[in-house]
Amino acid sequence: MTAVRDERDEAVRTALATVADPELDEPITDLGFVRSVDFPDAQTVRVHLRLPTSFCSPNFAYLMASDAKDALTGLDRFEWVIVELDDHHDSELINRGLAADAGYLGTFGVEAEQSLDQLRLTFQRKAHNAAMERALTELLRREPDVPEAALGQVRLGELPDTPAVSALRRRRAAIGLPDTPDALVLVDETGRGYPPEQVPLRLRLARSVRVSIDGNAHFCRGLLRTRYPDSAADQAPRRSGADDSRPLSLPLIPLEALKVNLS
Amino acid sequence: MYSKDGENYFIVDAHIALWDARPDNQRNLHGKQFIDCFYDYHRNLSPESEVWPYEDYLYYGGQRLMKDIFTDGYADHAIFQPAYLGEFYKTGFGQTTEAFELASANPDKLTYNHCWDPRRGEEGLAQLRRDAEQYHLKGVKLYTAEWFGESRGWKLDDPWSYRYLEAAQELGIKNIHIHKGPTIRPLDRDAFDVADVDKVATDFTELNFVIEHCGLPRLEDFCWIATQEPNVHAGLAVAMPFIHTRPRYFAQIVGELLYWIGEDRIQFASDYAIWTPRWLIERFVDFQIPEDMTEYAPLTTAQKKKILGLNAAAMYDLTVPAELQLAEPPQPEQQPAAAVATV
Repeated sequence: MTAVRDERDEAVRTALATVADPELDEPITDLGFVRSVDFPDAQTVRVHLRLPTSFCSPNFAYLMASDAKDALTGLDRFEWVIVELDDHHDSELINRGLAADAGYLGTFGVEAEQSLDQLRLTFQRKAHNAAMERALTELLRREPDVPEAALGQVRLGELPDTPAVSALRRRRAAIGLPDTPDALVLVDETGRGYPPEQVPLRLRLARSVRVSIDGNAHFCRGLLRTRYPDSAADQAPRRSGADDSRPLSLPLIPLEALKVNLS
Repeated sequence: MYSKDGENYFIVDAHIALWDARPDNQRNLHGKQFIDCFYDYHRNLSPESEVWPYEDYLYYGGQRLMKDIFTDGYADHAIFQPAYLGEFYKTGFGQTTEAFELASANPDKLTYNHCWDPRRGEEGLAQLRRDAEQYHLKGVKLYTAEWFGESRGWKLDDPWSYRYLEAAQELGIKNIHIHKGPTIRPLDRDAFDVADVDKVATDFTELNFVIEHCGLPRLEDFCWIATQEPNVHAGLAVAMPFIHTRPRYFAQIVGELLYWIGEDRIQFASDYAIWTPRWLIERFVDFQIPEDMTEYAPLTTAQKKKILGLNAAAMYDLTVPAELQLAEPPQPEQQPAAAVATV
């Protein structure tokens, strides 16, 4: 990485910071996935991406690389945008597709069916679930006397302006949920709340999503550093309140209390 | 057996391998990429003192395996879970003959599980019948992201997969270990999704489905289906070494698993030689859920004994010396309350 960054370089990195790893719910810039940025000539930007293993899922790899190309093209200041994925089992295939602007179907041929939209949505919903759990757990930490079932009635406007709550609002916006103060916080992907007897279980489910995403993030970040020791300097601390070192002071939900019908 | 603080633990390492990833056996670049990926797992999550040189890691042989698993590693029994990877390695990745011979020479210590690929159709099915007889199979390891010709993965609920599972049920191969991997058609969907496990677990109630690395990176999907299906179990391969690098995260994984599926359906595994069992066992016995994580109950000694060996011993009908068994042995068919909650 060059120490001196000019305005052009900053613009490129800002654009790349809008690209997220869907599974880890973090910008690729924070994860250290951007290996290099350079400008072979005045009209061209060239970005190399790297991932934690050669066998990371090719669909996610493609999604990030093509999102990066779109973000850089959207800057409207380069004649040529080159994005290349390094050291992946599908590098050749993906890089050829990106260079030709072949799209997802054109890149993967028979291995692709329609689009990656559903995949993206699945992970936006997971990210929303995790963010919801973080914001509500934060509330419980602050006000331990709030009965858990009452969390089903908490509204957006009642939450303070913390990083976890801002993160939740962004993830709500990503899946089209309202940002109004009277909107319920604990909701399904359509914005519908839950009856009180389902609230503890729904919160537990959201927690398992959060534990899973956070764990994957630790694992992938560590593997990237092992694979590319110089990537450590490029990794920013995980932003979304996903630090596993903070204690949770949530009471254990008695399992017998969860005899509810979810169908 | 492992002993600590007056307690004795019967140890089953439910997921080990004897692989050959040396350059001579690599069929192409992917063979190198694959073992390099494993080696990165190994050196990223092992304590520094336990990291092997790369050369040793490529191939270690049966003698070293016996030392690492049994002499140094406390195990009473271990189970081979081979990955074939014929598209990446000339004689395959897991060494069938070598592992089976080692298991035959040490029948009290080793169980050899084999693998199948439903894309081999009728021919593979006939092979499975021969393999069942030759290897006295009690279980198999299935890797759904295996490459095969033009195909780069399959699903458990594919029609041919059903034929193989039917044959397994008929042949008494009752323990199906499943390893989800990334490449699968169509790429539109999440390859790590465990929904296909849900379907086959419902349709093959006589079989046990052990999901390796407890569904990671989809712990939540795994917990949910395991809650619905009493014959779905969690293998702790890959999750175990977090005990060293991320103990608080490890506590959350174990806490979630105990909550959702209960203490009778979780199996210890080192995933040898990705990691060696000795340090994992020592640390797990010493491990406790941090006190401030009040959302999870503390781990009991009985739970540790079940996870470290008694659960897998029950699944594989291994003889456990009476003094190492619990007054109340594992009852995997008994559902935890979380499961009752979702019915």
